[in-house]
Amino acid sequence: MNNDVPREEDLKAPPRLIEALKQACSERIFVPPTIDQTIFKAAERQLSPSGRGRVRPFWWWSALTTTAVLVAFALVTVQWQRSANGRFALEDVNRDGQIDILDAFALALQVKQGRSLEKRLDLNGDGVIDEKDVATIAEHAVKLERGGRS
Amino acid sequence: MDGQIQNGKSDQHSDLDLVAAINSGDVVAFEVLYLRYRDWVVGLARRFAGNDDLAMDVLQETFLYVLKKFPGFALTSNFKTFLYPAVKNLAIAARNKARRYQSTEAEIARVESTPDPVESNCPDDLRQILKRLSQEHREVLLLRFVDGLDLAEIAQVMDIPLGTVKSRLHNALATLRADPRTKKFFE
Repeated sequence: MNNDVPREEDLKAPPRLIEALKQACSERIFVPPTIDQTIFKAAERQLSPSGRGRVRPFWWWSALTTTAVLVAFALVTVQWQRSANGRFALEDVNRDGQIDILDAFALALQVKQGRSLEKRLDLNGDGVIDEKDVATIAEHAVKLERGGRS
Repeated sequence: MDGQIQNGKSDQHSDLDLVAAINSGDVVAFEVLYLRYRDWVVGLARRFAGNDDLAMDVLQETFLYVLKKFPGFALTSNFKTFLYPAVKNLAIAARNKARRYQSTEAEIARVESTPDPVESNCPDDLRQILKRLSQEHREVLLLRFVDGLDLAEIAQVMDIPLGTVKSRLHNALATLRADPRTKKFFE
């Protein structure tokens, strides 16, 4: 190989040669329209603001997170309102949002086991938490069930 | 440039204008740029990959690669010099992959008999002479006179010194000038 740097004129080709090379090697190849369409669709997905792949997950997750937070907030609020809803909440021993015979059973079990109990469970206000308080809940639950559930 | 690229006036816009519009999300500008370079890319891809089917695959992969550069793509040189390495690498990879996945001897024989891309596209005289050139010399020759890149751009896309480009081009031309079958082009 010649290592000397060639002169500029030695690097030029005659127009006839250039033309022959172009004709020989630039034969047009038919590109099916389906390939064009595939690329154009990819361009729309990538370039349009609503279709950018990197943006979509952000909005998707953002909307999902917001919805989850709102639902959780609503559930907590409803539960809090139920528990703070006057004297019935005092009788809701098992705190399931309803006053029924299960609350009476729950209190009866705790009394029988002799546990120290919260003052709020002294439903008849006689200063002692005993079977009478259980009876108060049972009585109340039966009344409610006759007229419909709370 | 003001506003979006109009399809009917595509020739008015430079590559830089189109790239700026694509960076702003203009899909039509991308279509104009694609149509401007599609035939060149597919021809180049066939030159390296060896057949039309692989060239179509390379065409798609090349422009999907280009798309991923947007938004935020900065065109700092001729668009062909940006495309060339991508097309070449994808085409060579496609050709190697096609060879690897041939399972029967007949298929292997078919791939091995796939004509050299230059050989398949050129008339007899030129074909024979180009075949005698090494891949490196032929690539420089075609980049200069078929693809229209200048010497500095060829050095950039081939990642070789400018002096090497000149030397290879000089030798390729000397081979053509010395051969009686192509001597006529120099007279």
